[in-house]
This record gives sequence, structure tokens and C-alpha cells, in this order.
Amino acid sequence: MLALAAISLTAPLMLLGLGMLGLPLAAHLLHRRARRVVVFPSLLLITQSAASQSRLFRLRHLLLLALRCLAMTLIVLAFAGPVWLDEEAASLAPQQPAAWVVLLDTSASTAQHVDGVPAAQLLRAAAQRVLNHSVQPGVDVANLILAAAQPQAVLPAMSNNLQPLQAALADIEPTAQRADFPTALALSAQMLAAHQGPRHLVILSDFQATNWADLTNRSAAFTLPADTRIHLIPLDAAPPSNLALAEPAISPPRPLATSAAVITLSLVNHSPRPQATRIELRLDDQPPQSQSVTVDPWQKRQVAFELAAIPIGRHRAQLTIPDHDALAIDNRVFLAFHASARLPVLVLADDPPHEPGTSTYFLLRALAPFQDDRDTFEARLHTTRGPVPPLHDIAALFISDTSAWPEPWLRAVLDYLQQGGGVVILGGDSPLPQNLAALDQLLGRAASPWLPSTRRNLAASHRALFLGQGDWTSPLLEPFDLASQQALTAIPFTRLWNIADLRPEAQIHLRFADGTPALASAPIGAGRLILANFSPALADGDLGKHGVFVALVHQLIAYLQPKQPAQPASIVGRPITFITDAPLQAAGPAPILLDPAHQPLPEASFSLLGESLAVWAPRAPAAGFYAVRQGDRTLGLTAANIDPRESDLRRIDLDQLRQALLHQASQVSTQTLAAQESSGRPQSKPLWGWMLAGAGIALAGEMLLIHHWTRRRAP
Amino acid sequence: MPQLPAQPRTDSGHRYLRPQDLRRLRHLFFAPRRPVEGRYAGRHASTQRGHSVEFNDYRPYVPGDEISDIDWKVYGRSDRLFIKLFEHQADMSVHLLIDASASMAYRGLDHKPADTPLRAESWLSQLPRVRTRRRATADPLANPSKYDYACLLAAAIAFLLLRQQDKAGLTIAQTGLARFIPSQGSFTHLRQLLRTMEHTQPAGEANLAQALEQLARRAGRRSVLILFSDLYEPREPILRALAAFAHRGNQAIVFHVLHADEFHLPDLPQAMFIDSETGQRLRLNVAELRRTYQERLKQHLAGWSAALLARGIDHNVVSTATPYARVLERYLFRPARMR
Repeated sequence: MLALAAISLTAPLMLLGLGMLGLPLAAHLLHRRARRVVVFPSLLLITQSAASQSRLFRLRHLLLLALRCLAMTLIVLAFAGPVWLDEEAASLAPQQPAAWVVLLDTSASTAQHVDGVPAAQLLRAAAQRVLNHSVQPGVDVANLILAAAQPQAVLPAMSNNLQPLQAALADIEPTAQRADFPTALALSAQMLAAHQGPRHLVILSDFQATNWADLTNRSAAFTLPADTRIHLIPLDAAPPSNLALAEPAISPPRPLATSAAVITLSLVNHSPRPQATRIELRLDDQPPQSQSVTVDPWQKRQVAFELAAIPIGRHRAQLTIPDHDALAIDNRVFLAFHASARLPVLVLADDPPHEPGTSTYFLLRALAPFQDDRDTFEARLHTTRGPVPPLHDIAALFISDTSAWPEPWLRAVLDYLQQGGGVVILGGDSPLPQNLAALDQLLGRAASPWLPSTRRNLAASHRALFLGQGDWTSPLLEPFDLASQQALTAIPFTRLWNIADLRPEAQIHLRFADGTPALASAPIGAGRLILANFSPALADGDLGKHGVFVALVHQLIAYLQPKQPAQPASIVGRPITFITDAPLQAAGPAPILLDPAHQPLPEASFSLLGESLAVWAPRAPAAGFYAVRQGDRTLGLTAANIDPRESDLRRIDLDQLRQALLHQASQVSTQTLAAQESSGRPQSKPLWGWMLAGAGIALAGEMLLIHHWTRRRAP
Repeated sequence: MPQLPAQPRTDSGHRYLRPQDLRRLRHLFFAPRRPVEGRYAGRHASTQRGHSVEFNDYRPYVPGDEISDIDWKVYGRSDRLFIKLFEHQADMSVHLLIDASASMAYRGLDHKPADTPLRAESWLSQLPRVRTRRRATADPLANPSKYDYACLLAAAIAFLLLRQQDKAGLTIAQTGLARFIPSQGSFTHLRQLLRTMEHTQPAGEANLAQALEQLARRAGRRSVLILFSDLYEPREPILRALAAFAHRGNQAIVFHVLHADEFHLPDLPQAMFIDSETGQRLRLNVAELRRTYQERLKQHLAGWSAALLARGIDHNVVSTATPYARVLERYLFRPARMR
């Protein structure tokens, strides 16, 4: 951009139009030559009369010529796009190279429509204007940073070659991701720091409050050079109303094919008035279900779709709002789930499972009494000597009589607990103190609700101990009615552990008659560990022989069953992590992860986890279903949805943001999109309107003078 | 009353005196608005008192008067001697002075060169007959130059003078006195005058002051000078010359001949004006100048008129747009403005 002191021309090539000044000059000269020649008898009187008139006439013509030239000059200057630089911007006018970093918001919210125009298009055009008008070609250096979940620069370093930036800008579309602005600003700071000279950071964004709020929390994540001038260019219009779907889930999280399930989701009204809409559920290829819902302003409403019977296998549920609103990308959510015939329960035991009277013998039969599809649970028996199986999909982990737990098992148990799993440890013949001590050591604190010390054997004295107290109103024991309570308290126990230490946060569900805790639980991470001071082994009592043991086991599983689905849905822009539900065939082709467009994600990585496959991809590029395929087989399925915070289109208070950024920059200015569009340069005022007005005034003045002079000389 | 001579016979070969004009002039009698002093008896009133039949006045006898002039009848009635005075009627010798400077050649914007009729005939002959005839019969003096107009006026006056047995002479002023034809009273003389007018082409400057001085030396005394000019020359030398002319007992009449364009300037928005005599060029916005020019011309004419009338000289401003016969009639029928 050509700079003339405090006035800058955005299209200096238009100055070539000044050649048109030759037109009025030529017309003036031709007009002079075209005068008629009159041989008059005498100029005596004419000379006397014209002594003043001729000079006046010449002056008038020169004045008219000057006005025409002025009008022409002003029109040409208007086309050259003059802008008035304010004091600070004018100080940039010298040809000292400046660095311009254009930070363009490409988050999902920029797909919103503002007055019928996509916000992304407006921001892209604004960025193009910055590159075209603000950056001096061949002098300044610039770069374009796309702010998405993983911000990245278009060029590896600042460059004065603007063409790649302009070409890249033309292809940029809004992503379905949430922008990481602290990281984007950190990247911008890195780019700007490499330049010596004036530095400018132009931020083009919808300035969504939920997104930019990260900056106030993580302002220390980046450090801009102190002399950086930040130009904030927000959208002009007020945030539009938006309805969004979010948080799709299925309950129970691990549905059984034989039981009913409910798909739930949230309908969020991001607007100041009530909204009514219709939500449509399409499950696999089944006919869609729909229901109409009304939601109050700024409220979220839970919506449920009941599923009567679900076939065994993987399922794709897609919920949509058919209506169109400001942001279409959040009008659809995806849910992938797997319905199985039975819930898997892992039993870790080293005692012989088929020998009657052992703890595991009774436990397996309590879990699966029928040993067929009529059972609710599928018992998976493992020993401490075997490898650690995947625990992601099990409903609960029962640890019966075992030897010392190897470290892999310790870690697996602890991870399972941390991620929300439930573990039941039956206090039978096992080195329980050592195992729990190892678990505490690995966790770094006391893990179990209580620590056993020594084994107490009442059988030697022909005595037995009965359950005496129970927290029957707790969620664990609430289903036990009075008969069940009596049945439970009628069971004699002959061997139990003495309690060495009881954790304060432990919740005691059952106590023996002498007050010794019989069943207690403690939270670990998101999960819960239940420690029983008994076992179903015949050597420890008659528990295994009573039917109430089956009820207790099933209630324990129901209590501990994770509330989260086995494969939680991914968020677009974040990593995809899930484990396939089908085993990998060793002889088969290499697995691939397909995105919603059925294109393989090359950056996906796979690792064996037992027979299953653990899948990881750095980020989910779009919302939809992601499937792991091995040849023609589908090994697993997951879904990714946009971050629900992207649906709230309210803008952040720019003053607040400016204050937050002022700690990092020498100056933070705000310019509306319309002003930027008209000026083409931040901190500048367009002058072409004035130029055209001046040209109009010059032409009007010329016409008025001609009219005035003509009227005066009329007879 | 003296009997008017028979209508003189004229031919149509003269450009400035045509039969149709003679018909209009036959009822006119040219007489200066002021008495003239002639050498011979004539029909013009004179300031001289003489022996005509027209009684004028009485005055007391003073020694030295002719005894024969005493009115004895009055003496018989009143016993006092009175001299009877009679009007003296004199003949008139008129000098027609025509300005033949280049400025007098102006005949407006649409004038053709002198040889235009010939050229027109050559290309008009190729046009349809009716149109050619109409153009061919058009009056060549329909758009006369100032010189043409002055000659038309001068020829008419000469004709009237000769018809009423007065004498007429012609002087052409072109860089001084270019031609001088003494006044005579025959129609042969009239043809000579007409030929002289026709053969003279306006050019250069007139130098009227010098021409007047030279004419005054040749014209003798007690004659009438009629000057036809646009008077685009310094006023004072001309006035001095005219005053000197009048001082010798002569009488002067000025016809200030101007073209219509000189009254209100040509109808052009802008033009390059060239002085016909000096070649001076001036770029002008005519429309802008017109009002100022007209005021200036008015002052110019008023100045001439005042200066001439102050010297007992008739000043007649005429426009070539007015038929010369009407100008002549207006002059002859209007009472003289005397000092």
C-alpha cells in the first residue's frame, strides 16, 4: 500500500487514471481553437469594453477548468481508495517492514449464519482485505494462523510472499472443532517474536464467549512481544438464536439385547425466547421416530426415546432437528452403542472353579446360574497367572481367592477403578493384607475401605457370626426387602478378618453382629471398591449355599456397573480413543479407521489389547461415525459430536477481552467488520466517500457558476 | 416656385443608383437643414439678403446703404427712411466625402467575397433551374457593406442635388484624400461619380482628418460637406478638421454609418475578432461582452453627436439594416437640431 504521510492509498494503480486529466485540458484547448474568426471593422470599442471582461472571461474559464480537473482528480483518488491513517497508524507509514499475523477463527461456531451470510465467509473476506490492503506487498511479512482444535500456521514462518496465504484463505472452511485460542495465540506470539519491527496481530473471530473464556483462564499460556498491536475484528451483528442437540446417551450405558433401553439427549435453547422443534431419531435402518419438544429460553431439556428391543450388535443412532437455524452443524448428534446378550463380569480367582465349596465355585454359579443365554451376566474367569484382559467393557470385577496380585493386575485394577469401574474383593483365603497394601502403595494412599490384619476362625470354637446391622436404605441394599434382609442375616459366617484400620471415608453397608464391618466401600477415582469381610467358600460360612448370595452378587453388580458407556463418544477435534468389540483376526488385513465420509484416517494407530484392538487417532476431524474395519469386517464403532459449547453463540465482552489482552500487547483496538470492509486497514478511516463528495461539490460548483454567468449575460 | 426639371434618365448599369431607387426619390428635395450661402441664385434659403421676390424685413436706413433700397412708400407714410430687405436664395455646392477604409467593407458574418456572384453562378448553374433563377435575381445589395451603403446614400443625394440643379462633388478618403471630383451640376457628372464609387475598393485606413484638410483647401467656400464614415478614427483631429471646414463658411453633415453587427455584436457565443484595419486579434466571449460593448458604443456615439452638434454639424447615425431611402427621408423630413 502506498503511503502518503497520513493518507494511504489502498489501490495506488488507480492513480493511472490521473491521465484522464488530459480530457478537460484537451477539451479546453480544443474549445479555444474551435472559436470562430470574425474580421470586424474595428476593435476600438471592443478593446475598451473587453479590457476587463477578457481577463475576467479567461479567469472564469480557468476557474471552470480547475473545477473540472479537481473533480476528475478527486474521482480518480476515490478509486485509488485513500484512507486516513490515525496518528498511530500513520507512524507505521514509513517503509519499515511490519509483521502481520492474521489469526482466523475456524471453529464450528463460525459456521453460523449472520443475516443470511455465513460468518466464516465474512471473516474470510475480512482476512483477505487485511492481506490485500494492510500488508505492504514485498515489504511486510505475514502469516495466517487457523484457530481450530489444533491451531496451525499456513506457512512455517513469516513470509512476504502473500500469494500462498491468499490462496490458502480461499479454500478455508469452518471446521466442526472448538478452537484452542491460547495455543493459537501462543503460535502467533512465536511467529511475531521472530520479527524485528512493528508487529500486528489481527484476530478475526465471532468472539464466542464460551470459547474465548479459555483465554482469561489460560492467559499465561502465551506471551506476545510487548510492542504487538492487536486488532480485534468481530462480527457486526448480534448473536443469532440457536437450537442445539447435545449429550446423546443410552441408558443403561451397556444395554442388553433382551432389555429395554432409552436414548437420551439434551435440547438446548440458546436464545432469549421459547423454541419449539421436532427431534427425529434414526436408529440404523429403522423407520425414524420423532417427537416435538418446547424448551424455555436459555434452558436445556432432556429428551428420551425408548427402545423396546435392540438387536445384538453395533448400532448407529442419529438424532436431528429438521428445522434450520443459525448454526446447522449442531442440529445433529451421533450415538454409537453395542447391545450384547449378557453383561460381561470378570472374575479373578486362583482357586479351582469347578471344585465344589470354593469361593469361585459359588461365585460363578451366582453370576450365571443357567450357564446359557438366559443369564444376565457372562462370567469371564481369569487367574493372576494369566495375562490381563481388557477391562473396558466389563460390568464389574470380582476378586475371589487369589494369590498375590502381580503388578500388571494391580495396575489394571487400579486403572479400572480410576475410570469408573467397580471392583468387589471377597475376603477369603488370599494374602489380602499384602494385596491391598500393594494396591495402596501403587495408588499412593489408602485404597480399600479397611485394612485386614489377621484371620479370625470361629469354627474352631464352634461358633458363628451373623450379620447384625445393615444400611438397608443405601442404594446398594435398598432392593433388599425385609425377607431378604432376614435371609441375609440368618447366614452364619465362621471365618473373617480382623480390622486393622478403617478409612474415614469408607461407607459400611453391612456389619457383623459384633460390629465388625462385613461389607464396606470406598471411592477410588471415578470407580468404587467394595471389600467384603467374607467369602462364599464353605470354609468361611454358609453364604454360598444360600440363594440370597445370588441376589447380593447381582445387586453388587448393579450398584457398581459403570454409569458411562463402554465406548464414550468422541468430541470433534479431540483424540479418538476406543476399543473394538470384535477381536482382530491375526491373519486378516491391516485394520483401518474410517471417518464419517468413509475415508481412512492415516494418522490412526492401533494396538492389541487382548484379542481386541485399541484405536487411537489424534483428532476426530468431523462429526459422525468412525468405524474400524479389517477387510470387510467391522471391528468397532464410535461416534464423534461437536463440542456442545460451540452451540452457545453469545459473544464475549470485548472490553473484558481487551483488558485480558492488554497485559500482552501495547495496544488492543477493536474495529467492526463493516468499518474494516470500508477502510481495508485497521486504524484507518476511509476517505473515498469524501473524495466523491468533493468531486460532486466541484461539479455542482461548476454548474452553478455556469448557470450564474449564463443568467447574468442573458438579455 | 421654380419648376422642377424633367425626370432624368438613368440606366440600370450603376450599382449604387438603380431605377427602383429613383422612383422612390422622385418626390424628395434635398436641402440642408441650415441655410446655405451660394455663389449663384438658387432655390435654397440663404443667410444672405439679396434681390429675390421674397420679402424678409425692414431696417432703418444708415448712410452707405443703396439709395435704391429705400422703401419710399414707407417714407411717405412715416417720414422715416427704411431699407426693405429681401431673402436671398442661393444655389448649393455639395461635397460627398466617403470613407473607403477597410472597416467600411464590413457587411456582416455571412458576407461573400467580392467575386462571390461569379462563383455562385458557376456552381448555381448546376442546381435546378428554379433555384438558380431565384438566386440569380436576388438583390446583390440586400446585404450591403458599410461602403456600399454610404455609396447608395451618396448617389441618391447626388441624384437629388443634380435633379434640383445643384452641384455635387465626390471625395474618397483612403489614406487621406484618394480621389477628388469637384462639384458640377450635370448628369454626366453624376455617372462619373457613380463610376468612381463603384471602382473604389475599401482598404487600409481612411485618415479622415487629412482628407478633410485637403478637401477644405480644394472645396472653396460656402459649400456643403456630407461625410459618410464609421468614424473609427481619433475624434479630435476629425473635429478640428471639420471645425476648420466650417470656419470657412462651409456647412457639414455627417452620416455615421454602422453595420447592424456593430450595434449589438455578431450573434456568436465566442469568437476570435480581428481588426479589419490593424489586424489586431482578440479572443472574446461575445455574449459576455455584449452589454458592456453596447454601453460603450452608446457613449461613443453620444460623444460624437455632442461634439458635432456643438460645432453646428448634423450627426446622423445610420444602420445598414435600415433601407437607405428611409434614412434619407428621415433626414430630410426631420427639423434641424441647431445649436
